[in-house]
Amino acid sequence: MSKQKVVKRMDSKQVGALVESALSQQHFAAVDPGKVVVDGIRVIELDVHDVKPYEGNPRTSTNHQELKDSIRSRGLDARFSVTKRPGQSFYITARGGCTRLRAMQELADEGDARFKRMEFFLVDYKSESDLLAGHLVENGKHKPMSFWDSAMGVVNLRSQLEQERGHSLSSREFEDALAESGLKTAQPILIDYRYLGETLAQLQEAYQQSVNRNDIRNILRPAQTLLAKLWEKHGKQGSDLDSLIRFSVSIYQDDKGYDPQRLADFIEAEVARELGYTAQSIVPVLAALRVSPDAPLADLLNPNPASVQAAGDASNLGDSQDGAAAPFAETPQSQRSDPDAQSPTLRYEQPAQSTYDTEPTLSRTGSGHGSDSSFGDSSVGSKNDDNYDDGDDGPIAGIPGLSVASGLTPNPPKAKPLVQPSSGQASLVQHQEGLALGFGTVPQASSIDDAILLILDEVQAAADAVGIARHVVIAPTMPQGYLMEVPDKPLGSSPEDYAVQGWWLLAILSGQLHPNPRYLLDLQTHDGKLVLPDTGRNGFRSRLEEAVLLFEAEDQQGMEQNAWVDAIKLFLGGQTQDEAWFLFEMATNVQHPLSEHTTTILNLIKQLNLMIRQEAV
Amino acid sequence: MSRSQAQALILSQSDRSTLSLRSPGLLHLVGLELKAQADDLGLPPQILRILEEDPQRILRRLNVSVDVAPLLTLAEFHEDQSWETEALKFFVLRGAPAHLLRELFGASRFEVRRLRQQLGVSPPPARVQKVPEELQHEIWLRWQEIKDEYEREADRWIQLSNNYPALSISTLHQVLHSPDVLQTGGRKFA
Repeated sequence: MSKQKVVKRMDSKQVGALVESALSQQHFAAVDPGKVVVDGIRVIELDVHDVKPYEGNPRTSTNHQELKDSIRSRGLDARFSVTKRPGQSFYITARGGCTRLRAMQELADEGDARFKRMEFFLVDYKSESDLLAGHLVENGKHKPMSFWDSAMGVVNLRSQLEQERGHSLSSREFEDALAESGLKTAQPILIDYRYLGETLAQLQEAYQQSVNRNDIRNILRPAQTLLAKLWEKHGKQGSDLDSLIRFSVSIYQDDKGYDPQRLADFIEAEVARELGYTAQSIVPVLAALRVSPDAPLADLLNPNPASVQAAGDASNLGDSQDGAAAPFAETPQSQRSDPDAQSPTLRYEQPAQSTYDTEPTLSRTGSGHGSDSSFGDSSVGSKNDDNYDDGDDGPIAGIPGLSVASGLTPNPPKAKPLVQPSSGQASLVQHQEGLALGFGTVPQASSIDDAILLILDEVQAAADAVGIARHVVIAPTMPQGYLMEVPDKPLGSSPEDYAVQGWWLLAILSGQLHPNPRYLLDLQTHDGKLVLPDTGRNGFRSRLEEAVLLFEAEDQQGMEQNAWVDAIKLFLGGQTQDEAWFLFEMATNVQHPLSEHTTTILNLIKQLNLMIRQEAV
Repeated sequence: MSRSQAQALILSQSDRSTLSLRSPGLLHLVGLELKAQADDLGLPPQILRILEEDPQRILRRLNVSVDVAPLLTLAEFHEDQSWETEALKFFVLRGAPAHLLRELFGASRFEVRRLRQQLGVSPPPARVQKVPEELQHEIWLRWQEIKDEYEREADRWIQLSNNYPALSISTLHQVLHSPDVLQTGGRKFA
C-alpha cells in the first residue's frame, strides 16, 4: 500500500505561537535526553482514578483542554511513570504526566472506556527531592515550562534537598545535585532562579507567568544592585532593603498588567521614599551612581551638570536652564536629620553659560587631574572650547562632561542619534563640509613607522576628546597598532553618548570588530594563539579567547559570547553598530565632534596602506 | 455590512482570483454606471431602454466579477514575510547554527546577531550536545516522516525541533548530518 504524501505548510500564526512558547521556555534541559527514562522500570495497569497528580508539580500553567482533545483523538502517545510513597495507598505521578492524568480521568468520567484502566511505568520512590526533580526533568522534555515555574521548581528543589540533607547547599553542591537528578543548568541561570525565589516570590499570581529571565537580568537585578549601593551609602542595612523590596513586590499592582520596567520604577519609588527622596529626585542620584559607583554620597547628591545631562530626560534639565527651580530642589530626609552628613543639601549648579542647546563642548580625560590616561594632555579636547578651565579643581560649570575634581568618570554629553539619511538629519551639505574640512588638515607621514605613530596620536586625540583615552591599548599586532579595551563602567547610557560613539568608532577603525579576527591571532603558530596584550580577565582579549576558539571550531558567531554581549549592553550603549554606516556617518557629518578625527585617521590609514604596498613592491 | 452578509454576497468562486458578487446596492450602482456610460460602452438602445423602464429585469441577470488576484498576492506576500520573521525567531531561539540560518533564510550574520540580541539569546555553542544512538535513530525516523509531511525545509526543522525541545537545532542538525546517520540512513541503530 503506497503511503499518501501529505504536504503541509506552517503558517505564520502557528510559528508565532511556537516562538511565544520558545520565549517562555525553561532554561534547563535533561542532562542526557535519551536516558531520562530510568532503568529498572516496571509496567503496571491501574484504574486512572487510583493515581493522583503529584501535588508539587512545578508546572502551574497548562494547556489542559488542548491536551485532552489530543488524547481523545489520538490516544496516549506513551505511558508515563507513577510511584507510591511509603505508607500511602494511592499512586502519584512520578515524572510529569499530571496534566495528561487529569485529562484521562476526565475522559474516563465522560464514559470513554479507553481511559478507564491504563498501563503506567512504576518507579521506586526515593525521596521528595527525587520526585520534584523527576517532574522538572520530564516537564522540560515536553511543552516548555514558563520561566516562573522553572525557577520556582528549582528553588523548591533546593530547599527540599537542603531539608533532606540537613544543611544548606553551596552553589556548586546544588549544581552537582541537579546534575545527579538529571538536570543540567548553568550557574548564571541558577542565580536568576534564586533571585526570583528570594525577591519576586510574592509577586501577584496574575503577573507571575509573564516574568522572564531577561526582565531579571536586564532590568530588575541591575536596578536593585544600584539601589543597594545607594542604600549602603546611606549607611543602612542591606537586609532591610531586601525586606523593603520584597514588600514592594508583594504590593505591586499595575492596571496595564505586569511590566518589568514599571515594577522596577515602583520599587525604586518605594526605596526613594524610605531614603527621603521623591520618585523624581532619586533619578539623577542613581544616574550619577551608575556612572561613578565609588563616588561618595556627597558627590552623588551634588553632581556636576554633565551628570545631570547624562541622567537624561528625567533630570528636567530644561527647567534649570531658564533659571527655574533646579531639579534637585529637595534634600533627602535622611540627610536632613544628619547634620554631619557630607553635602546634605542637594543642589544644582547652573552652567556658566547655556551651552546645552548648541553643540556640546567636548570632554576629555583629565590628564593632570588624576586620570589614569597614559596618553598625555592632548589639546584636542579643548581645541574648540574657549571655556576649558584647565586650572580649576572644582566641577567646571558650563562644560558638560567634565568633572575631574570629584573623581567622577567624565560623562560625555550626548550626540544626536546617528540616523539613516532618509530621516533628513544629516544633510548632504554637512557631509560635503565634512569631507572638505576633514581632509584638509591631515598630517603627512614620512615612513610606515611615522604613519603608525601619527595614527596612534590621532586615535589618542579622538579618544581623549570624548573621555575614553584610557581604553585605548597599544597592540602592535593590530592593523593600526591599537585596540579598544572593553570598559569596566558604562561609557554612557545610550548609543547617542559621544563616549560610546567614540569607542565604537575607534574599535571599528582598529579592526578588532572584524568578523574574522585574524589580526588577533599569531598565524605563524599552529594553534593560532592570541597575540594581543593581556589586559586582565575583564579585557577584550579574554572576551575574545573563547570566541576565537569557537571561530576556529565551527560557528563564526563566536564573537557574541555572553560576556561580550553583556559588555555591550552594560557599558557600550546597549547595541552594536552597523559598522559601514556608522563609519560613513562619523566621517561625513561635520557637526559631529569626531568627524575630523575620523577623516584624519582614515587618511592616515590610507597613507599607511599605500606605503606598505609600495614597500611590498 | 456584517460578516454573514458579506459572505452571502460571494456567490461563487469560479477560480482562485475571481469572485462573483451580487448585492442590491452594488447592482443599483452598476445600473447607474451602465446608464451613464451607455454610449462609451456601446450598449444597444434596447438595453438602455430596459434600464430606464425596468432596471431589475436586467440587473437580476447580472453578476459582478472582481479580480482579487492583486489582493491575494499581497496577502501571500504578507504571510510569507510574517512567516519568515517568526520562523527566523524560532530558529534563533532554538539554537540554530548560523549556516543553516543563511541557507534557509539568507540571514546575514549582522541580522542574526541583532536578532539574538533582541531575543536575549546566546549563539549555540560550537560543541553540540551528545545524543545517544537510540535517540539519534528516533530523530532520523522522525525526520523521514516530517520530510513527507512538510513542504518547506524550514517547517520541517521547526517541527523536528518542536518534537525534541530539549535539543537545540544545532544538535539536531548535527545528528542528521553525522557520518553514521548519513552512511547508514539511520539503519545502524534500527
